[in-house]
Amino acid sequence: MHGKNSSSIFNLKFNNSKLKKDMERQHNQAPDEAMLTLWTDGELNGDELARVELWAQDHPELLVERDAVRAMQSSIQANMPASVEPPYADFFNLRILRAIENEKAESGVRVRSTGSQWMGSKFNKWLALPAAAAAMLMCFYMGTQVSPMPESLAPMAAVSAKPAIYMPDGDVRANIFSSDDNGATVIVLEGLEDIPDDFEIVGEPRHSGSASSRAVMVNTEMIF
Amino acid sequence: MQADGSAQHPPEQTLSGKPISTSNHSSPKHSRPKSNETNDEQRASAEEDAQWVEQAKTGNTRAFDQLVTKHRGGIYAMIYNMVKNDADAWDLSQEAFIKAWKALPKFESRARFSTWLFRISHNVVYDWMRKRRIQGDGELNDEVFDVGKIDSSAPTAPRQGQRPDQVLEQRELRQRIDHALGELSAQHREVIVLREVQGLDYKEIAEIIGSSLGTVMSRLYYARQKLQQHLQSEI
Repeated sequence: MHGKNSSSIFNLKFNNSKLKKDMERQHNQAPDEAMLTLWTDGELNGDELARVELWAQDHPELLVERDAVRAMQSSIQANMPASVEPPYADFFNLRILRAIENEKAESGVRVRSTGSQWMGSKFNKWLALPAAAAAMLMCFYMGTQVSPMPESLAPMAAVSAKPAIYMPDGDVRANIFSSDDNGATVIVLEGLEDIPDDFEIVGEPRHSGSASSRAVMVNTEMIF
Repeated sequence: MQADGSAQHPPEQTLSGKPISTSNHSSPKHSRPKSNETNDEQRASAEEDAQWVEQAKTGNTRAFDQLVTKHRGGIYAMIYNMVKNDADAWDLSQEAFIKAWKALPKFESRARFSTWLFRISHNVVYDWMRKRRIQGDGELNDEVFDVGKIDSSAPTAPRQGQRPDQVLEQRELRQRIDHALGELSAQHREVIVLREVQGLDYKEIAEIIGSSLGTVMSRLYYARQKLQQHLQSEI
Protein backbone atom coordinates (compact mmCIF):
# COMPACT_ATOMS: atom_id res chain seq x y z
CA MET A 1 0.00 0.00 0.00
CA HIS A 2 2.56 2.37 1.17
CA GLY A 3 4.80 1.49 -1.73
CA LYS A 4 2.01 2.00 -4.24
CA ASN A 5 1.08 5.38 -2.76
CA SER A 6 4.66 6.42 -2.78
CA SER A 7 4.92 5.38 -6.37
CA SER A 8 1.80 7.40 -7.29
CA ILE A 9 3.08 10.44 -5.51
CA PHE A 10 6.43 9.98 -7.21
CA ASN A 11 4.71 9.67 -10.58
CA LEU A 12 2.61 12.75 -9.88
CA LYS A 13 5.65 14.73 -8.85
CA PHE A 14 7.54 13.43 -11.83
CA ASN A 15 4.70 14.33 -14.19
CA ASN A 16 4.37 17.78 -12.64
CA SER A 17 8.06 18.29 -12.94
CA LYS A 18 8.04 17.08 -16.53
CA LEU A 19 5.10 19.31 -17.35
CA LYS A 20 6.85 22.24 -15.74
CA LYS A 21 9.99 21.57 -17.70
CA ASP A 22 8.01 21.27 -20.90
CA MET A 23 6.41 24.59 -20.16
CA GLU A 24 9.79 26.05 -19.39
CA ARG A 25 11.15 24.70 -22.64
CA GLN A 26 8.28 26.28 -24.51
CA HIS A 27 8.21 29.58 -22.73
CA ASN A 28 11.62 29.96 -21.26
CA GLN A 29 13.90 30.29 -24.23
CA ALA A 30 17.21 32.02 -23.72
CA PRO A 31 16.59 35.74 -23.42
CA ASP A 32 18.46 37.87 -25.92
CA GLU A 33 20.82 40.72 -25.04
CA ALA A 34 18.11 43.34 -25.25
CA MET A 35 15.93 41.41 -22.83
CA LEU A 36 18.83 40.92 -20.44
CA THR A 37 19.59 44.64 -20.53
CA LEU A 38 16.00 45.43 -19.63
CA TRP A 39 16.14 42.84 -16.88
CA THR A 40 19.37 44.27 -15.46
CA ASP A 41 17.87 47.76 -15.48
CA GLY A 42 14.73 46.54 -13.72
CA GLU A 43 12.55 47.48 -16.67
CA LEU A 44 10.76 44.16 -17.11
CA ASN A 45 7.46 43.13 -15.64
CA GLY A 46 4.71 40.56 -16.09
CA ASP A 47 5.35 37.54 -18.28
CA GLU A 48 8.64 38.84 -19.63
CA LEU A 49 10.04 39.26 -16.15
CA ALA A 50 8.81 35.79 -15.11
CA ARG A 51 10.42 34.19 -18.15
CA VAL A 52 13.79 35.77 -17.56
CA GLU A 53 13.68 35.05 -13.82
CA LEU A 54 12.89 31.43 -14.58
CA TRP A 55 15.78 31.24 -16.97
CA ALA A 56 18.09 32.85 -14.45
CA GLN A 57 17.23 30.16 -11.89
CA ASP A 58 18.94 27.62 -14.11
CA HIS A 59 21.73 30.03 -14.94
CA PRO A 60 22.97 31.50 -11.67
CA GLU A 61 25.85 33.19 -13.48
CA LEU A 62 23.28 35.61 -14.87
CA LEU A 63 22.31 36.68 -11.37
CA VAL A 64 25.96 37.25 -10.49
CA GLU A 65 26.46 39.22 -13.68
CA ARG A 66 23.37 41.31 -13.06
CA ASP A 67 24.47 42.18 -9.53
CA ALA A 68 27.96 43.07 -10.75
CA VAL A 69 26.59 45.35 -13.46
CA ARG A 70 24.28 47.04 -10.97
CA ALA A 71 27.18 47.62 -8.60
CA MET A 72 29.17 49.06 -11.48
CA GLN A 73 26.28 51.34 -12.39
CA SER A 74 26.13 52.66 -8.84
CA SER A 75 29.85 53.23 -8.86
CA ILE A 76 29.74 55.12 -12.15
CA GLN A 77 26.79 57.22 -11.05
CA ALA A 78 28.55 58.11 -7.82
CA ASN A 79 31.82 59.07 -9.44
CA MET A 80 31.05 60.40 -12.89
CA PRO A 81 29.12 63.67 -12.83
CA ALA A 82 26.53 64.11 -15.55
CA SER A 83 27.27 67.80 -15.66
CA VAL A 84 30.66 69.47 -15.47
CA GLU A 85 31.10 73.15 -15.98
CA PRO A 86 33.62 73.82 -18.75
CA PRO A 87 36.68 75.77 -17.66
CA TYR A 88 36.30 79.55 -18.04
CA ALA A 89 32.57 79.17 -18.48
CA ASP A 90 31.93 82.87 -19.15
CA PHE A 91 34.55 82.92 -21.85
CA PHE A 92 33.03 79.71 -23.21
CA ASN A 93 29.70 81.51 -23.72
CA LEU A 94 31.37 84.64 -25.00
CA ARG A 95 33.19 82.79 -27.76
CA ILE A 96 30.02 81.09 -28.87
CA LEU A 97 28.16 84.40 -28.99
CA ARG A 98 31.00 85.98 -30.94
CA ALA A 99 30.93 83.15 -33.47
CA ILE A 100 27.17 83.54 -33.77
CA GLU A 101 27.44 87.29 -34.33
CA ASN A 102 30.04 86.69 -37.03
CA GLU A 103 27.80 84.09 -38.57
CA LYS A 104 24.86 86.50 -38.55
CA ALA A 105 26.96 89.22 -40.15
CA GLU A 106 28.25 86.85 -42.84
CA SER A 107 24.80 85.50 -43.60
CA GLY A 108 23.56 89.10 -43.93
CA VAL A 109 26.25 89.81 -46.48
CA ARG A 110 25.41 86.58 -48.30
CA VAL A 111 21.73 87.52 -48.46
CA ARG A 112 22.51 90.98 -49.80
CA SER A 113 24.86 89.62 -52.40
CA THR A 114 22.62 86.82 -53.56
CA GLY A 115 20.95 89.01 -56.18
CA SER A 116 24.17 90.41 -57.53
CA GLN A 117 25.71 86.94 -57.56
CA TRP A 118 22.83 85.71 -59.64
CA MET A 119 23.23 88.60 -61.96
CA GLY A 120 26.96 88.07 -61.91
CA SER A 121 26.69 84.44 -62.89
CA LYS A 122 24.34 85.29 -65.76
CA PHE A 123 26.58 88.16 -66.73
CA ASN A 124 29.61 85.90 -66.70
CA LYS A 125 27.88 83.33 -68.81
CA TRP A 126 26.44 85.48 -71.57
CA LEU A 127 27.95 88.91 -71.53
CA ALA A 128 31.55 88.49 -70.41
CA LEU A 129 33.18 88.58 -73.85
CA PRO A 130 31.07 91.38 -75.38
CA ALA A 131 31.51 93.45 -72.21
CA ALA A 132 35.26 93.00 -72.26
CA ALA A 133 35.40 94.06 -75.88
CA ALA A 134 33.23 97.11 -75.18
CA ALA A 135 35.43 98.11 -72.24
CA MET A 136 38.55 97.89 -74.38
CA LEU A 137 36.97 100.06 -77.05
CA MET A 138 35.89 102.59 -74.45
CA CYS A 139 39.41 102.77 -73.03
CA PHE A 140 40.87 103.22 -76.47
CA TYR A 141 38.42 106.00 -77.27
CA MET A 142 39.11 107.83 -73.99
CA GLY A 143 42.83 107.51 -74.57
CA THR A 144 42.47 109.28 -77.91
CA GLN A 145 40.33 112.07 -76.43
CA VAL A 146 42.33 112.98 -73.33
CA SER A 147 45.28 115.28 -73.88
CA PRO A 148 48.46 114.77 -71.95
CA MET A 149 48.03 116.54 -68.66
CA PRO A 150 50.94 117.72 -66.55
CA GLU A 151 51.11 116.38 -63.10
CA SER A 152 49.16 118.58 -60.86
CA LEU A 153 48.24 118.38 -57.27
CA ALA A 154 44.54 119.05 -57.38
CA PRO A 155 43.30 115.93 -59.23
CA MET A 156 45.35 113.70 -57.01
CA ALA A 157 44.09 115.30 -53.89
CA ALA A 158 40.52 115.13 -55.07
CA VAL A 159 40.55 111.37 -55.50
CA SER A 160 42.85 110.40 -52.74
CA ALA A 161 41.50 109.57 -49.34
CA LYS A 162 44.91 110.09 -47.82
CA PRO A 163 46.64 113.45 -47.87
CA ALA A 164 48.93 113.88 -50.85
CA ILE A 165 52.21 115.72 -50.59
CA TYR A 166 53.85 117.62 -53.36
CA MET A 167 57.61 117.20 -53.42
CA PRO A 168 59.60 119.24 -55.92
CA ASP A 169 62.52 116.82 -55.65
CA GLY A 170 61.53 113.46 -57.08
CA ASP A 171 64.22 111.61 -55.12
CA VAL A 172 62.70 112.57 -51.83
CA ARG A 173 59.85 110.49 -50.48
CA ALA A 174 57.46 111.77 -47.90
CA ASN A 175 55.10 110.04 -45.51
CA ILE A 176 52.51 111.91 -43.61
CA PHE A 177 50.99 110.90 -40.32
CA SER A 178 48.13 112.94 -39.07
CA SER A 179 45.72 112.82 -36.20
CA ASP A 180 42.57 114.86 -36.60
CA ASP A 181 41.62 114.29 -32.99
CA ASN A 182 44.84 115.73 -31.69
CA GLY A 183 45.27 118.26 -34.48
CA ALA A 184 48.75 116.95 -35.15
CA THR A 185 50.50 116.14 -38.41
CA VAL A 186 53.93 114.57 -38.74
CA ILE A 187 55.69 114.39 -42.06
CA VAL A 188 58.66 112.10 -42.51
CA LEU A 189 60.99 112.85 -45.38
CA GLU A 190 63.31 110.23 -46.75
CA GLY A 191 66.06 110.68 -49.32
CA LEU A 192 67.20 114.12 -48.28
CA GLU A 193 70.86 114.95 -48.60
CA ASP A 194 72.83 115.15 -45.41
CA ILE A 195 72.20 118.44 -43.77
CA PRO A 196 74.98 120.29 -41.97
CA ASP A 197 74.40 120.74 -38.29
CA ASP A 198 74.46 124.50 -38.60
CA PHE A 199 71.52 124.50 -41.00
CA GLU A 200 68.16 125.28 -39.54
CA ILE A 201 65.12 123.96 -41.25
CA VAL A 202 61.79 125.61 -40.93
CA GLY A 203 58.73 124.08 -42.48
CA GLU A 204 55.03 124.25 -42.23
CA PRO A 205 52.24 122.47 -44.03
CA ARG A 206 50.15 124.61 -46.29
CA HIS A 207 46.67 123.30 -46.75
CA SER A 208 44.74 124.19 -49.79
CA GLY A 209 41.71 126.36 -49.37
CA SER A 210 39.16 123.74 -50.32
CA ALA A 211 37.70 121.82 -47.44
CA SER A 212 37.36 118.69 -49.52
CA SER A 213 40.91 118.82 -50.66
CA ARG A 214 43.35 116.79 -48.62
CA ALA A 215 46.42 118.23 -50.34
CA VAL A 216 49.30 119.42 -48.20
CA MET A 217 52.29 121.29 -49.50
CA VAL A 218 55.47 121.37 -47.50
CA ASN A 219 57.46 124.52 -47.79
CA THR A 220 60.98 124.04 -46.68
CA GLU A 221 63.59 126.74 -46.45
CA MET A 222 67.08 126.63 -45.32
CA ILE A 223 68.12 129.41 -43.06
CA PHE A 224 71.77 130.22 -42.70
CA MET B 1 13.99 82.16 -18.09
CA GLN B 2 13.16 82.40 -14.46
CA ALA B 3 10.12 84.17 -13.17
CA ASP B 4 12.07 87.27 -12.22
CA GLY B 5 13.64 87.39 -15.66
CA SER B 6 17.08 86.71 -14.32
CA ALA B 7 19.43 84.28 -15.94
CA GLN B 8 19.29 80.76 -14.70
CA HIS B 9 22.47 79.52 -13.18
CA PRO B 10 24.32 76.75 -14.95
CA PRO B 11 24.02 73.21 -13.69
CA GLU B 12 26.08 72.93 -10.60
CA GLN B 13 27.63 70.07 -8.80
CA THR B 14 26.80 69.22 -5.28
CA LEU B 15 29.61 68.99 -2.82
CA SER B 16 29.62 65.25 -3.29
CA GLY B 17 30.47 65.74 -6.92
CA LYS B 18 27.06 64.69 -8.15
CA PRO B 19 25.47 67.30 -10.32
CA ILE B 20 22.24 69.06 -9.69
CA SER B 21 21.02 68.00 -13.04
CA THR B 22 19.02 70.31 -15.22
CA SER B 23 18.39 67.79 -17.92
CA ASN B 24 14.87 66.56 -18.23
CA HIS B 25 13.37 63.14 -18.69
CA SER B 26 9.79 62.96 -19.74
CA SER B 27 9.64 59.18 -19.91
CA PRO B 28 10.24 57.51 -16.58
CA LYS B 29 10.33 54.10 -18.22
CA HIS B 30 13.77 52.97 -19.28
CA SER B 31 15.34 56.00 -17.69
CA ARG B 32 17.63 56.28 -14.76
CA PRO B 33 15.81 58.86 -12.67
CA LYS B 34 17.85 61.69 -11.32
CA SER B 35 17.55 61.55 -7.59
CA ASN B 36 16.73 65.19 -7.08
CA GLU B 37 14.58 65.84 -10.12
CA THR B 38 10.83 65.40 -10.07
CA ASN B 39 8.58 65.03 -13.07
CA ASP B 40 7.27 68.55 -12.49
CA GLU B 41 10.78 69.91 -12.56
CA GLN B 42 11.49 68.02 -15.75
CA ARG B 43 8.38 69.41 -17.36
CA ALA B 44 9.18 72.93 -16.22
CA SER B 45 12.70 72.60 -17.54
CA ALA B 46 11.46 71.40 -20.93
CA GLU B 47 8.98 74.27 -21.12
CA GLU B 48 11.72 76.72 -20.25
CA ASP B 49 13.87 75.29 -23.04
CA ALA B 50 10.98 75.56 -25.48
CA GLN B 51 10.52 79.25 -24.66
CA TRP B 52 14.17 80.05 -25.10
CA VAL B 53 14.31 78.04 -28.31
CA GLU B 54 11.39 79.99 -29.76
CA GLN B 55 13.08 83.28 -28.87
CA ALA B 56 16.43 82.10 -30.19
CA LYS B 57 14.79 81.11 -33.46
CA THR B 58 13.90 84.74 -34.01
CA GLY B 59 17.57 85.64 -33.73
CA ASN B 60 17.60 86.42 -30.03
CA THR B 61 21.17 85.59 -29.04
CA ARG B 62 20.46 86.37 -25.40
CA ALA B 63 17.93 83.54 -25.29
CA PHE B 64 20.41 81.22 -26.93
CA ASP B 65 22.99 82.26 -24.37
CA GLN B 66 20.59 81.07 -21.68
CA LEU B 67 20.34 77.71 -23.39
CA VAL B 68 24.12 77.47 -23.60
CA THR B 69 24.47 78.30 -19.93
CA LYS B 70 21.90 75.70 -18.97
CA HIS B 71 23.17 72.83 -21.10
CA ARG B 72 26.90 73.46 -21.35
CA GLY B 73 27.65 71.30 -18.29
CA GLY B 74 25.92 68.24 -19.70
CA ILE B 75 27.33 68.64 -23.18
CA TYR B 76 30.84 69.29 -21.92
CA ALA B 77 30.71 66.26 -19.60
CA MET B 78 29.42 64.01 -22.37
CA ILE B 79 32.05 65.15 -24.86
CA TYR B 80 34.82 65.05 -22.27
CA ASN B 81 33.94 61.46 -21.45
CA MET B 82 34.16 60.63 -25.13
CA VAL B 83 37.39 62.42 -26.06
CA LYS B 84 39.08 62.33 -22.64
CA ASN B 85 40.78 65.66 -23.12
CA ASP B 86 39.85 69.00 -21.57
CA ALA B 87 40.96 71.28 -24.39
CA ASP B 88 39.36 69.22 -27.15
CA ALA B 89 36.18 68.84 -25.12
CA TRP B 90 36.06 72.62 -24.66
CA ASP B 91 36.43 73.29 -28.39
CA LEU B 92 34.07 70.54 -29.47
CA SER B 93 31.40 71.64 -27.01
CA GLN B 94 31.56 75.12 -28.49
CA GLU B 95 31.36 73.69 -31.97
CA ALA B 96 28.28 71.73 -30.97
CA PHE B 97 26.52 74.86 -29.69
CA ILE B 98 27.46 76.88 -32.75
CA LYS B 99 26.13 74.12 -35.00
CA ALA B 100 22.99 74.03 -32.89
CA TRP B 101 22.52 77.76 -33.47
CA LYS B 102 22.89 77.33 -37.20
CA ALA B 103 20.47 74.39 -37.26
CA LEU B 104 17.99 75.97 -34.88
CA PRO B 105 15.48 76.92 -37.62
CA LYS B 106 15.22 73.22 -38.48
CA PHE B 107 14.66 72.14 -34.89
CA GLU B 108 11.17 70.85 -34.29
CA SER B 109 9.95 70.54 -30.76
CA ARG B 110 9.04 66.88 -31.20
CA ALA B 111 12.33 65.98 -29.56
CA ARG B 112 13.57 67.56 -26.39
CA PHE B 113 16.17 70.26 -26.89
CA SER B 114 18.70 68.43 -24.70
CA THR B 115 18.34 65.23 -26.77
CA TRP B 116 18.78 67.24 -29.94
CA LEU B 117 21.91 68.86 -28.51
CA PHE B 118 23.32 65.46 -27.59
CA ARG B 119 22.63 64.31 -31.13
CA ILE B 120 24.60 67.27 -32.53
CA SER B 121 27.40 66.60 -30.02
CA HIS B 122 27.47 62.97 -31.12
CA ASN B 123 27.99 64.09 -34.73
CA VAL B 124 30.65 66.62 -33.74
CA VAL B 125 32.58 64.02 -31.75
CA TYR B 126 32.40 61.40 -34.49
CA ASP B 127 33.46 63.92 -37.15
CA TRP B 128 36.39 64.87 -34.98
CA MET B 129 37.35 61.22 -34.45
CA ARG B 130 37.12 60.58 -38.16
CA LYS B 131 39.43 63.50 -38.90
CA ARG B 132 41.89 62.32 -36.28
CA ARG B 133 41.81 58.88 -37.79
CA ILE B 134 42.49 60.29 -41.26
CA GLN B 135 45.34 62.42 -39.94
CA GLY B 136 46.78 59.33 -38.30
CA ASP B 137 46.92 57.46 -41.63
CA GLY B 138 44.05 55.21 -40.84
CA GLU B 139 45.05 54.53 -37.28
CA LEU B 140 43.23 56.00 -34.36
CA ASN B 141 45.52 58.40 -32.58
CA ASP B 142 46.42 56.76 -29.30
CA GLU B 143 46.87 60.13 -27.65
CA VAL B 144 43.16 60.72 -27.95
CA PHE B 145 42.42 57.89 -25.62
CA ASP B 146 45.52 57.93 -23.50
CA VAL B 147 43.61 58.24 -20.30
CA GLY B 148 46.78 57.76 -18.30
CA LYS B 149 47.61 61.37 -19.07
CA ILE B 150 44.37 62.66 -17.69
CA ASP B 151 43.78 63.83 -14.21
CA SER B 152 40.57 61.90 -13.88
CA SER B 153 39.59 63.41 -10.61
CA ALA B 154 39.90 67.01 -11.73
CA PRO B 155 36.30 67.75 -12.70
CA THR B 156 34.84 66.25 -9.57
CA ALA B 157 34.51 68.42 -6.54
CA PRO B 158 35.41 66.49 -3.38
CA ARG B 159 32.80 65.94 -0.75
CA GLN B 160 33.00 68.50 1.96
CA GLY B 161 34.38 67.03 5.12
CA GLN B 162 35.63 63.86 3.47
CA ARG B 163 38.63 62.29 5.05
CA PRO B 164 41.75 62.38 2.90
CA ASP B 165 41.72 58.60 2.53
CA GLN B 166 38.13 58.76 1.31
CA VAL B 167 39.03 61.46 -1.18
CA LEU B 168 41.93 59.36 -2.36
CA GLU B 169 39.77 56.27 -2.63
CA GLN B 170 37.16 58.15 -4.61
CA ARG B 171 39.82 59.59 -6.87
CA GLU B 172 41.33 56.19 -7.53
CA LEU B 173 37.93 54.71 -8.28
CA ARG B 174 37.16 57.52 -10.66
CA GLN B 175 40.50 56.99 -12.31
CA ARG B 176 39.82 53.29 -12.72
CA ILE B 177 36.42 53.91 -14.25
CA ASP B 178 37.89 56.54 -16.56
CA HIS B 179 40.64 54.20 -17.62
CA ALA B 180 38.25 51.31 -18.20
CA LEU B 181 35.95 53.59 -20.22
CA GLY B 182 38.92 54.62 -22.32
CA GLU B 183 39.55 50.98 -23.16
CA LEU B 184 36.12 50.62 -24.74
CA SER B 185 35.38 51.29 -28.37
CA ALA B 186 33.83 54.67 -29.11
CA GLN B 187 30.44 53.09 -29.72
CA HIS B 188 30.46 51.16 -26.46
CA ARG B 189 31.80 54.12 -24.53
CA GLU B 190 29.08 56.36 -25.90
CA VAL B 191 26.17 54.17 -24.83
CA ILE B 192 27.70 53.78 -21.37
CA VAL B 193 28.17 57.53 -21.04
CA LEU B 194 24.68 58.35 -22.29
CA ARG B 195 22.99 55.69 -20.19
CA GLU B 196 24.97 55.43 -16.97
CA VAL B 197 26.39 58.95 -16.70
CA GLN B 198 23.78 61.08 -18.42
CA GLY B 199 20.90 58.85 -17.32
CA LEU B 200 19.09 58.96 -20.65
CA ASP B 201 16.44 56.44 -21.61
CA TYR B 202 16.90 53.93 -24.44
CA LYS B 203 14.70 55.89 -26.83
CA GLU B 204 16.70 59.06 -26.37
CA ILE B 205 19.96 57.20 -26.84
CA ALA B 206 18.58 55.64 -30.02
CA GLU B 207 17.70 59.12 -31.32
CA ILE B 208 21.11 60.47 -30.43
CA ILE B 209 23.21 57.74 -32.00
CA GLY B 210 20.80 57.13 -34.85
CA SER B 211 20.13 53.45 -34.13
CA SER B 212 17.19 51.26 -33.26
CA LEU B 213 16.09 50.52 -29.72
CA GLY B 214 17.22 46.93 -30.09
CA THR B 215 20.67 48.01 -31.17
CA VAL B 216 20.95 50.34 -28.19
CA MET B 217 20.01 47.64 -25.71
CA SER B 218 22.19 45.03 -27.33
CA ARG B 219 25.15 47.41 -27.52
CA LEU B 220 24.61 48.39 -23.92
CA TYR B 221 24.68 44.74 -22.90
CA TYR B 222 28.05 44.10 -24.50
CA ALA B 223 29.46 47.47 -23.43
CA ARG B 224 28.64 46.68 -19.82
CA GLN B 225 30.26 43.28 -20.09
CA LYS B 226 33.42 44.79 -21.56
CA LEU B 227 33.53 47.55 -19.00
CA GLN B 228 33.07 45.02 -16.25
CA GLN B 229 35.97 42.98 -17.59
CA HIS B 230 38.23 46.03 -17.82
CA LEU B 231 37.34 47.11 -14.31
CA GLN B 232 38.01 43.64 -12.91
CA SER B 233 41.33 43.37 -14.69
CA GLU B 234 42.49 46.53 -12.94
CA ILE B 235 41.88 45.25 -9.45
